[in-house]
Amino acid sequence: MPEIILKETKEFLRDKTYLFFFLLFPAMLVFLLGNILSSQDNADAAIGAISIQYYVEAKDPQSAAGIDDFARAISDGNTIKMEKTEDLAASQAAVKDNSITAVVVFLEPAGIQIYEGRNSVGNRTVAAIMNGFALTNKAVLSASQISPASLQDGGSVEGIAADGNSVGAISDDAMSIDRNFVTTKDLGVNRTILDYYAISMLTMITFVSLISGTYAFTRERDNKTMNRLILSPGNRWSLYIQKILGTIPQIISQTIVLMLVSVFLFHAHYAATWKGNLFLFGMFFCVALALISLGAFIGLFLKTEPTATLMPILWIAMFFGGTFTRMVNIKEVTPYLPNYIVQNAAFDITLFGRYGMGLQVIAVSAVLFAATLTAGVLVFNRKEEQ
Amino acid sequence: MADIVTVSNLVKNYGDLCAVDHLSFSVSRGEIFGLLGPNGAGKSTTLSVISTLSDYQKGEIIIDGMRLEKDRMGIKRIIGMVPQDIAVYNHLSAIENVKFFASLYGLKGKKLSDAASEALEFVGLSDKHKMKPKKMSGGMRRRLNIACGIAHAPKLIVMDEPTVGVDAQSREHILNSIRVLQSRGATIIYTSHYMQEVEEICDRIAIIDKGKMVASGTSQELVSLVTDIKTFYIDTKFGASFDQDEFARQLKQLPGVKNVLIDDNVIRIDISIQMESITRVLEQVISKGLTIYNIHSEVPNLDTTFLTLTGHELR
Repeated sequence: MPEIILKETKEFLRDKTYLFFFLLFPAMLVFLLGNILSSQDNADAAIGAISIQYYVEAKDPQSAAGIDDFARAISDGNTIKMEKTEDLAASQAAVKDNSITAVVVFLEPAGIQIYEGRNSVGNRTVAAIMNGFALTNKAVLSASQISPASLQDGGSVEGIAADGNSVGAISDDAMSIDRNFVTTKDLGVNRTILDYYAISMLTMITFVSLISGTYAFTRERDNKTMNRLILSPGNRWSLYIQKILGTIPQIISQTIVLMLVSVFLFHAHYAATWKGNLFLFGMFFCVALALISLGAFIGLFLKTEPTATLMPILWIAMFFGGTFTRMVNIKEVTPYLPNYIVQNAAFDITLFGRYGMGLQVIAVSAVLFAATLTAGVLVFNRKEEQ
Repeated sequence: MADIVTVSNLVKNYGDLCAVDHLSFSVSRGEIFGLLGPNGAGKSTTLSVISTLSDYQKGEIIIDGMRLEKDRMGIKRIIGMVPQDIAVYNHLSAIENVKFFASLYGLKGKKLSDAASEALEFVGLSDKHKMKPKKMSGGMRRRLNIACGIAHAPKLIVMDEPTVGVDAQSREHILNSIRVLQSRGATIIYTSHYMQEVEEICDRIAIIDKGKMVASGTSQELVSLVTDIKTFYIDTKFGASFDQDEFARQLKQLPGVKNVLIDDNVIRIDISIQMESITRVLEQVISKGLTIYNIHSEVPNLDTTFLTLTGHELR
């Protein structure tokens, strides 16, 4: 058995085409998609610059000052700009000719009126900002009526955002401009779009293993070496299993190399813990092994060139499965694609440390491996080489 | 000489097509046995069945005392196959290729290294042991193909057209190697489209066509099946008064002479092979005071025999 595994490994490591497609190309894609194309996946770029002008009807100077403080606070000088206007008609005209995103009118005695422009994403963003403002005011008002003490020194309302990175606190001097009532704490890995592509490329090479599995037998046929292998004193089922197991070094090397290059060269992140990364590796290993076994089974019947036949199918699955960009998501198709499911399980492990979906993927892979291996052995045992 | 291969009434069908039809033959231990037949005659199928690659429907095959249907694994161990197609791995060096295939037969460690080196030396590639097949010439690749099939020192070597597409030098090397293998005790079943090769190295030859045995025997025996005539051409110079017709009549009366034709100072004479009566013919020529400038003979060869027996040329 070690002879065939050793031979397969040598062939893999000496085949420049294989090395390019299974080791170098995926690593390059992590870098290219993560850095060059990442701007197209960036939320800031998707929303664009938000320019808001606001008009205050309120006569109460304290309220007006609070609104001005809020406008200053959310203006980051880059993406969001909120400026005061005294000429409501001129601002409305600016919205109409698309020079600004929207005009917000703070009504007297209470309420907010938004005059929206033509940028629907911008409109939704402005509405979200103003809803947040209104809800915060409402919370402070409720607290002042129900429990004024909670707004005194030491009292605070806290919340942790879903991403685990920000902590909000409304305290006794919440509306003072001298105090930041939103602070951030780094509770984990600082994620970038590279992390997305590190996982999606790992999924890609894992699914391309289907093709290398197909080559396990078609290449022996093309080399005319199949008959020599069959002639050697050994059972056919043993030969079939050895050929499948012979691909293990390839699976291990392609997965490890991509993970290491992504992390150490391109500074992408997988799971935050060793255990998570090990589990992630194990899951992709199981999926790759199952796909190689499936590929080998297909290779027993395939008369055409495997890459030319299978690559278009895989490419379509990867395109609609969000491997190349997360922007493609068709709800009737995408969630059912195997690569999307594996990718999601990987995100579950890396982002949230949840292993349930990963375990399901491993279980399905094990069943697929056992089924295709058994079927392959049965067919190979009866198949007559010409 | 005991038989190492005995094939009796072998039948092999591919669906409705009968590729081998009740074929029987035997191969003696230590001989080079040639299998001849036109394309589609069933020789590759026969080799495929003997070497355990293909199943068969009827018949009995005994190799080195083992029945094929019962001891497939035992037979695999003693057979070495040199296929018509060059069956090597392009990403492995020559020595790695030979080692890999020999290792499948259980050779390990020093034994494996020695066997691989010896096989490469045998085919004249020991100085190219690190070279990869894709960088080798056609002849070198053929020789490597042979080395991969013989490194485990098989008792029975099946060679399917091992000299296809090689230069004269490599062919000579391969044919010499086959003779050496025979001298070391191996039995060789050999197929080739080169009739001259088969005549040259095979001890016995079987001609098969449409899956059936047409004839078998030594090259001489096969030729004698279709004709017993040998043609001689004697170049001489007749004088102007020499009666050529009378002389032809006299020659024709000699025992064993079948036909005489004199044309343009050349006597063409057909003589029975069995009679071996050329001496009397020559005595007659000399007695007439004629000078013999040249003499050559034409024997019906295996090509002619094959054509006569099967009705078509080998290719």
